[in-house]
Amino acid sequence: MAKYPFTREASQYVEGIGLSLGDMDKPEFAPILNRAEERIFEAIKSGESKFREDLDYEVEILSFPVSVALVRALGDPFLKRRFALSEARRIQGLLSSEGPSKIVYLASTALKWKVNMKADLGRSMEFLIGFVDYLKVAPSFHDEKWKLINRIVVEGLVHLTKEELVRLMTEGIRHRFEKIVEPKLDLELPKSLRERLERIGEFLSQRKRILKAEELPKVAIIGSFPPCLKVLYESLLAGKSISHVGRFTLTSFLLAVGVGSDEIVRLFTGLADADERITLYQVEHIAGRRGSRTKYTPPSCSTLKTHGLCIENGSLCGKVRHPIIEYRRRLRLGQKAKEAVAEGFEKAQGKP
Amino acid sequence: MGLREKVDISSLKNIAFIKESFLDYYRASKNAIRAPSDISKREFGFQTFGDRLMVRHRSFKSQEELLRFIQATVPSDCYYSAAYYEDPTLEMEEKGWLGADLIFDVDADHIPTRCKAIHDRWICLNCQREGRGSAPDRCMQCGSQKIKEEQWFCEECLEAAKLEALKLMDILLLDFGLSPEEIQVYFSGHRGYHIHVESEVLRELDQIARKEIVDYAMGLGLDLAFYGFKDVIAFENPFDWRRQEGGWHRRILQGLYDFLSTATVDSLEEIGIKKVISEEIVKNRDWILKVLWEKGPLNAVKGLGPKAWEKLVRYSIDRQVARIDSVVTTDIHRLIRLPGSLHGKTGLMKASVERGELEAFDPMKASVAFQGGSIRVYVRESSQFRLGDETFGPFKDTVTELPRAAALLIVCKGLGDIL
Repeated sequence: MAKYPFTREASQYVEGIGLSLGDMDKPEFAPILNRAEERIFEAIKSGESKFREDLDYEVEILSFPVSVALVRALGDPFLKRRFALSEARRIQGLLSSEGPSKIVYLASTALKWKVNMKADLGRSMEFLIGFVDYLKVAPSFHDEKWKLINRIVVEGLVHLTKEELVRLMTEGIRHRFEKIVEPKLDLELPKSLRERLERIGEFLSQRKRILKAEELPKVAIIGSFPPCLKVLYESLLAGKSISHVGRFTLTSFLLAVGVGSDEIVRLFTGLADADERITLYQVEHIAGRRGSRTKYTPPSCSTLKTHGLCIENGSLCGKVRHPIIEYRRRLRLGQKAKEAVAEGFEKAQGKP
Repeated sequence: MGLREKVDISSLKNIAFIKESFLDYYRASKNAIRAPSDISKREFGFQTFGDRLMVRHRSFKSQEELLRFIQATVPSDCYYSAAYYEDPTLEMEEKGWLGADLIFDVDADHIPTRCKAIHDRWICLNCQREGRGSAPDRCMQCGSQKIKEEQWFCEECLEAAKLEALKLMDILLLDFGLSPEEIQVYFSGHRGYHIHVESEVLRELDQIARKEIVDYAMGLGLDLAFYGFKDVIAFENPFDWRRQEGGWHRRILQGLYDFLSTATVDSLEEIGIKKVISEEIVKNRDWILKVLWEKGPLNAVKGLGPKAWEKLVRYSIDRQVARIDSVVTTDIHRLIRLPGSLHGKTGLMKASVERGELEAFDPMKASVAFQGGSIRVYVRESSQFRLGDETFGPFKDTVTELPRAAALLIVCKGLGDIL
């Protein structure tokens, strides 16, 4: 229960205790609040909250709904996504070390998926999942191996390894958490929570400022990015998964406009989903420093159209055939470049 | 030629004849149409005769109410939404999408058949250039996109469509594990088949999930790396199929086996395999089939290298994919023809295929909506066609007496006039 706050057992337990947010001012609940705050700080900092075995399991369980309440009260879209990702990653780590029957139990009870162990174990494909449940999550992964046609599908069941099932469940749980933190919390919060909320808000904007300073210094004017690149860049900041082509486009574009590969690596590793993470090698490969030594240029507009990355069929751009040209065009137009930078970041970080 | 469009006395007479026939049909039985399940949550749409307007966003509470509306208005074509809505009468964004049946459309349009070059024609409405076969996107003479197509449908087209539908059924039943009770197959009344899947669990699938199902059925995005061809160099043991119970693994293996069992040097050369290798394959056929089915390591077959194997595998896949219209399946707001209703381009009905009877199904018999009658028509030009057990035509510049169903087909197709 302490590990998996999304289970029915955990929420029943929390309900059973019958605490309300109003009780949180009492000093004996401070450990819960501390842990709730810590979960959010972890989410903002590293994008992965840790399971604290050392803590009283009650604290671990109860701190989850409290942290959800805090995230909802703050209502920051960036934080919501980061929190969902961070909690889901924590669970991914825990699930990986569970035995098959526990995994099947959690998938079928908490996520209500049709999941089973394969009768004859000993093969690499240990698990079976109903194709409908599979399709709820898998299409958001971009690797070819997740495409339904590249799986074994028999009698409505998709064959999976344990690692793959855990990955699917993590994504399913992340979606669940995103829904949980979505509705805005409009309650008068007790003082102890208000204080923490303030701290979190401050840390968040401070963190955003650091990101702003760290990211793409001087050289790249985000406000002048063509719409397709802006969307890719914002998706990256928001921790959304980006397709291979998308990552290649973004990386080669950033390199082309003068951002160093170290900075790009920091950007990717700092923000993207761990499994989708682009490695230094990949960036340097694209930069032409490694591997084939070919320096890649970003794809042309027509290629971007083919891959569905072009926004509104180019109607927002000038009559150009390449995103770099559009970027330069926008830079020239941009007396307002400075304001655009600010706006670009605000947008990237999900503010209206 | 039969492609001119003009409003004159004969066209008015034609429309009157078609409308009268359609009305007779819809009046003859209260089960003329088959209303979809959850009828009140569906949107209905109708195409009118004459001005060809599309009336949408209609809703009905029962089959009787729907039939009364059809009797009163006599549309040329009747459609309903695959989707379920909270309020089907509102604009699309406000309807409140609740889910949609999974629909597949197998149309001869999407299947390359040899007969099209013979019976399909087109005319450019701008420069009057004409041609045979499927219409080009643009006229090669003047570049205009205003092209009128005249598509005929022959037994070969319909057989080709049926084969695709059978392949799709195989995938739906074996791979996706759908039960036969959830699937209803229909002949569209023109050039193909519609496969409707009504299942609670499938209703909520979004467009992306449906696209995955389409890709699966059409073999799109199939990466041989996941089917044993990890690396051409690591060719020692490329096929894992013996260990796999089904899905595309089984299908590819089965297809290879079937093809190689009967392949000739010519048919192998046709798929791009060199003559020397083709001869080798035919000579060692039994050994290859044994290796394929029992032992695995395919490099055991001398002279047959990874490239040739890949060609064989690709061909095997190509033979077994189901060619469907991907747009229909992925469009979760799609309107589809109402079962039992008449097709405005043929006067034939959308006829249901009994479970398990697809292979033996005769579309040109089951879809005939009228028996008997004798109508005098002038036929400008028509290929030979069959309705039920009777064969008609070919006609050219002829006045003839035809049973009502045949006359209706000629007139609906715009190939002749009522006299």
